[in-house]
Amino acid sequence: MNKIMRLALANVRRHKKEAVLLGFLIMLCMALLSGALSAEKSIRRMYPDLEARTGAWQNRLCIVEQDYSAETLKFLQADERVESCAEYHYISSASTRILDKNGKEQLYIVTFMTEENERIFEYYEPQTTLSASEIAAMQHPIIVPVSQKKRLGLHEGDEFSFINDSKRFTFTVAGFYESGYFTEPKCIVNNADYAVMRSIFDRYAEIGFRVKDEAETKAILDDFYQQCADEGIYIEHLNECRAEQMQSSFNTEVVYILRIMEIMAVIILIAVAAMIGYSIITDIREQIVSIGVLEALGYRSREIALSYASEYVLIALAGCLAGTLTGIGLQQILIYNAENMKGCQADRTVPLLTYTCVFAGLLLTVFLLAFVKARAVKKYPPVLAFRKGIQNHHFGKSHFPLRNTKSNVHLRLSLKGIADNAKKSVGLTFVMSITTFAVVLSFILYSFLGRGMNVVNAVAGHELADIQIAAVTGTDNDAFIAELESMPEIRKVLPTCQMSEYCIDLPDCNDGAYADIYRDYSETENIFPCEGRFPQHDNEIMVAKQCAAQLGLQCGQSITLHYDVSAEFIITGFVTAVVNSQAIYLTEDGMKRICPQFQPDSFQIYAAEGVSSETLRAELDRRFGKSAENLGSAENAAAGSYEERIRAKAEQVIASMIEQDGAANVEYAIRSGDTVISGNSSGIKIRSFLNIPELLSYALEMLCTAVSVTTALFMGISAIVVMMILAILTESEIRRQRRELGVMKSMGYTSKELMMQLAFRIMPAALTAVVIGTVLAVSGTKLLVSFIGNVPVSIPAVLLLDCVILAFCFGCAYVSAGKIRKISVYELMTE
Amino acid sequence: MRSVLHTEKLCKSFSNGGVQQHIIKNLDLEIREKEFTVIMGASGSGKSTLLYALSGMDKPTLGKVFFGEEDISAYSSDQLAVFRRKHCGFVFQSIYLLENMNVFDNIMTGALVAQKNSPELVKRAETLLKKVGIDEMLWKKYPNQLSGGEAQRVGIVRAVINEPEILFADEPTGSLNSASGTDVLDIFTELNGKGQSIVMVTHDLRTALRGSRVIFLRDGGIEGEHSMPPYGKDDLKKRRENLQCFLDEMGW
Repeated sequence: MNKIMRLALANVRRHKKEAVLLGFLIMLCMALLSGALSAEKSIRRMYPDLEARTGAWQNRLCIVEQDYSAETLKFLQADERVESCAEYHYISSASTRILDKNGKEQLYIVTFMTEENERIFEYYEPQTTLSASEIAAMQHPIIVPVSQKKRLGLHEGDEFSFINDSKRFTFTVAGFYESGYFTEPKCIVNNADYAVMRSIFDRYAEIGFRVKDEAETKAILDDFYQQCADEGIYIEHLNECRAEQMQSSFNTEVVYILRIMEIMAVIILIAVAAMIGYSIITDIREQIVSIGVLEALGYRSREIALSYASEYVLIALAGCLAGTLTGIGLQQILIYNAENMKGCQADRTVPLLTYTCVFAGLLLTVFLLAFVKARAVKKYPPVLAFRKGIQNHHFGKSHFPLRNTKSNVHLRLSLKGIADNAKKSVGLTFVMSITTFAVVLSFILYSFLGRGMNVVNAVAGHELADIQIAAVTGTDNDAFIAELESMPEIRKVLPTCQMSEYCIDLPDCNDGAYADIYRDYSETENIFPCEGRFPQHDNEIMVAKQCAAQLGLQCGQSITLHYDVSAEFIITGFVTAVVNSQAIYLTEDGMKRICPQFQPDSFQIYAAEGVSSETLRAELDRRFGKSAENLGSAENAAAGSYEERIRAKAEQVIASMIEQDGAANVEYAIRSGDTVISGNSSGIKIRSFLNIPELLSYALEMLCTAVSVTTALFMGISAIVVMMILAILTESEIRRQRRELGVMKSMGYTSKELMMQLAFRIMPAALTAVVIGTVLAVSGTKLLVSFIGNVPVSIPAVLLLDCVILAFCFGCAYVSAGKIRKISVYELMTE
Repeated sequence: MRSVLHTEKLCKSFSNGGVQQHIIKNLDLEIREKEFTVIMGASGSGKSTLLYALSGMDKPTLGKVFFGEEDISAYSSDQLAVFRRKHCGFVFQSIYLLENMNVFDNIMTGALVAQKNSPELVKRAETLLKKVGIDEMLWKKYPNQLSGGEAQRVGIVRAVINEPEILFADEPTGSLNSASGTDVLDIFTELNGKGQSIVMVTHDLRTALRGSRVIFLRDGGIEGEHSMPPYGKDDLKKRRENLQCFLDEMGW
């Protein structure tokens, strides 16, 4: 063993640079694989640990408060499979804003809950540095989730303002608490503040429940819906959050990054395998006489093969050790980022077993690869080895004979080199195809998903006008549209319905589907069929691609939809719809076939050229007065003259009646002493405003950031891997051909010409790899259609990237070949 | 005769473990056109070092090497490479044919670095190969399928294919048997007879007899010089005696 290790160490010393490069690749592989796997372990535990710490409900049913019936809770209470259940309430708004550090408004979707409800939802243990008397002295205290403390840089005693349209609710941060998973930040406010905001924000009731056996959840819910139907309880707006759904949506982006890292590690491992194979064969050819001498001295071929394998195991050992340290660092960074993204703590323990397994696995893989390759020494008994092995004898066809050279001799010599090393070129092509695939796909995804609104536009499957407004009940739509369209700030108005307003029953589907309704789809600007065409007649529909895949629907197929009544429709196309993966696209007339009373109550408003959505919003405010949700601010109700305070209070009631109860026209008269204060809601045409593009951009921000970071990382690592591969290949090529290169130098070939020749040799492999990788990557984007929609591929940009990759490969090979300069003809001749 | 190469105070030293070893010391030498110069000396006297310094394979530590009026000692590595391809041919003791190329490609590799391919060039390669006794059936063979003599003859064709102004040879018969060595030397004599300037390093008396000028080196300097008429133009026995006498004088 001693002599084997001595031989191995001697070999490592001989190829220091190659050993360092290979060790670096192995380190990268170890770091990415172990770091990602161990981080994934911790990150996957984040959700269950958080739920255990906070005691938040395992499964939830979120219902719009006006649709909620307390009876429904009893169905779950009566179910023996349900361990426990409870009801709690909260208010939320998708259009709330806060001020960022620069004083600029930013969208901040938020939920408010009272302490009483919060204690039903979870354990609730607020942490604060303030005393009870300090908190008691606060007029509007708020307890904020710990996750927001870091994100927004909040501290106890800070002011925290929420802006809902023009209404501002200012609170004082009284403390923080760790919250169970909730789609948006959930702040705890006192009962008085909650009561004020209740009239302004959307109100929800939620049933939380725990089941004895998680596998039964689906069946329990099916029975629950059946009981509701049997009892005539119809819940129009219900959002089901099962434990497994919440867990998977909790860390999707993070796991996505980790998965990419693991794939990258596998790509590097393939590159390492190819490099080891090539290096060993080069070593054997180069040291064939020494091998013969060792065999003549009595070394067995197995021992010599072991010495070669040990050389790479030593390199791998060093790489793995460095990789373990880097992996631990990477794991901590990944967990830190995940904690920041998700706002809860994760276990930062270093899982020794994971590291040991990856470490041992990599060492074993390297050893086996190297040993199998090194067994080639068996083919050279001493006499054959002394004759430099049969491998060095050329009896075959001479490729690219120089007598036929037409133009450049260097190119011709490169081609000869390529033909002589075709096997190596195949290996290089394979490894580079994978890396090119990774780079091109990353580039396409980066240029597409890296910029938030691109993905929103392409995958929303929803119309994204500048502003969407909901009209108050009873509005004359045609007159209102005409009035809107007469405004110079408005380019176009499309009547529609509110998102998730109509839940349509689908055959063989428990969840139902939400309708998207337009009079004429050719007028829409952001709904694109990824297959088929728009619905044009009242019996035609399009379906969200994901929903179609789930139900096995085909274009041209008939389907029966039910809302108030049932009707049969033909599917004319599919749409990629990330916003609502259960969307059904109907025409207005089509909707009337299943809901005869249907009238559009929302309007997509498109700003004229050069008009921003803020300007448009201001103009609409000016023209139509305040929206119902903007009436009766708490400030007005608390300040101003007596009459102003009375009117403000009355407006609050009107707002509540229009916004929450759907009142069409409200009149009031209040007698105070001899004075009668009266008014009505006739000036109010707009019930609410919604900036959907901004909302979606906010919702997809995390995913876009994750994609940007990952794809950039992917491209960077791929570039490093390509650089390393080419450096190792060129290095061993120079080592193998040192004598030939020296002879050519003596003939008058300059170092630059020889460097060019060597660099050119990798170009056919690189070119083939780039073609294969690009074709695979572009085809790969087609496979992503179902997940992220039609990814636009800019062919000129991809071709440009290909040229950059080729230039990069050439540059790397050329620079690596610089070692030729060090070959001294004189030293070579006098050796 | 016109001077092709000359040196001024040529010095070449090597550092070995921090100790400077002076191999060539202030050497002034002139190589003349059409002359067959033979450099002799004991092992370590600096023969090969001088040959490589003269041919632009290596740069002198001090002093100058002039090709005609051009100071090539100031050239960069790449400029020296271009100088070699244009003006020099080399024949090595270890032959150094390119193992991965057949005979004809070995010749063309040397040819195409200096000139463009043409039917005349191919014809010239074929003629030269035939002239040195390499039959057409060997042209597609690889170096390891040739005998030492055959390989060295291919090496000579590769060296002269570009019609260099000087042909450098470093112990060209060192690795050959007697018969092959004689064949190779006959080629050198024939080339010189046609006006090819040759600088050859050897420590073999029989090989040195082919030269018209013998320079004897000792400790990095010229110890002595001996001139002879062109080979074949005098009595071989007397030529041998004179050379032997010179070498004896030099303490060889």
